[in-house]
Amino acid sequence: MEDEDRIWVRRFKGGDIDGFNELVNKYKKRVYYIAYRMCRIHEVADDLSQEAFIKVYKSINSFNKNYKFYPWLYRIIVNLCINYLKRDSRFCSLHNELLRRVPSQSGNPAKLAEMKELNTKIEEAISALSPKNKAVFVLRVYEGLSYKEISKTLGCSLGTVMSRLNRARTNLKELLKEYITAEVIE
Amino acid sequence: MKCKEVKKLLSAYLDDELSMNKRQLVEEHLKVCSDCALEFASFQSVDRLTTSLIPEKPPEEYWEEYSSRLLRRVAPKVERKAGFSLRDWWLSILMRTEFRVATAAAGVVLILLIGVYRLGLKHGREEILLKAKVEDETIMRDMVSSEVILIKALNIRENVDEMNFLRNELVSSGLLNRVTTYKDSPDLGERARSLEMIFIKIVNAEPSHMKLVQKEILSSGVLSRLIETKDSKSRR
Repeated sequence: MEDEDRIWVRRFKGGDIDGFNELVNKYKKRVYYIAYRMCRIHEVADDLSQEAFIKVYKSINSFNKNYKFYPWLYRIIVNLCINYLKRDSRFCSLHNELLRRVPSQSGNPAKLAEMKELNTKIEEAISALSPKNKAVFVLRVYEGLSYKEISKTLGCSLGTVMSRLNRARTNLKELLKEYITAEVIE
Repeated sequence: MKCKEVKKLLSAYLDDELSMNKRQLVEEHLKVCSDCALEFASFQSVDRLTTSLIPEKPPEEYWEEYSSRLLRRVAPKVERKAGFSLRDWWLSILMRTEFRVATAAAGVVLILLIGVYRLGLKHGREEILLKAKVEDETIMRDMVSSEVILIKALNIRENVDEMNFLRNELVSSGLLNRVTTYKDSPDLGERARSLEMIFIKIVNAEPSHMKLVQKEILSSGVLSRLIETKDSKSRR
């Protein structure tokens, strides 16, 4: 997987646009979903993910090809999301209340309504995390990155990763108290 | 190990990121401390709940068009990069003997083409001018419509019907989609991006948030920049 990235990065650095296309095709969904999980609005996730690839395009010459490509890319998208959330912090509460569209599913309407409510609560809880804690949580829980990879991606120490994750989970535990209690008792 | 220390390590324990020694210490503690064990179970539950969240998936067409949209946004650079490699390729061709034969053939074709070109020149030029005129008129019309939408948004009250009316107007006119395409334009790009963000907020905002959106419109300066651009285009 890594060798493949290196080949494409080398080709792209050499002026071959196919190298760039291959990297986009491989990572577009992951980059989009990081942005979507952090910002929760499709249009924003779309714009920020495209912006991340434009940054890759513009700064590929400054990228050291001996390093892994994806931590660099993840760092770009996470920083874009953090900046967006900080810039639009006034709209964070608005984001929480934006129209949530749960994918259409067949089944019992009462169960669907219950699932929709749970989805909304979880989304609201994640949205309420601070941008930095949210970034660490998304990279660990949804992207499955190790602490070392997260520390490289975000440029912070392992201790910082550990404490941010602990804080994120503690906050989520409080925010989702009613569901957590039920789960733990069950 | 005290509870306070253990609680700091619980997340890393859950993620299997502790050293063997610390892992054992936490394990021992969890066997005898129900409070920390409950905290750990809560963390497990947080992960189960959050990973059960189903994100809204964009349709397959979105992914099909994703790369081409991106390439259009970086297109000027793509062309420049292609230009450099084209020059190297061209120099290598010049060195070949087949090039001479190709040049002679190209000469004949060129003479024929000049004839055809002279015939089609007048018609082609008119077509290009007409196309540019149509595009310019569409941009002007969209700027006027955007200005109207923003002014309406500034004057709107916190009323569901008024909000729905404005939202419908914005979406059904296709304005939002067209503004998105202007993001690639070298002279309109930045303004189009600000405008698009404002439009998205208008489409998504609930009546109680309209005041925030109105503040955003005023503080972003997008309306005044829009009027400036529109005036400078109309003077051209």
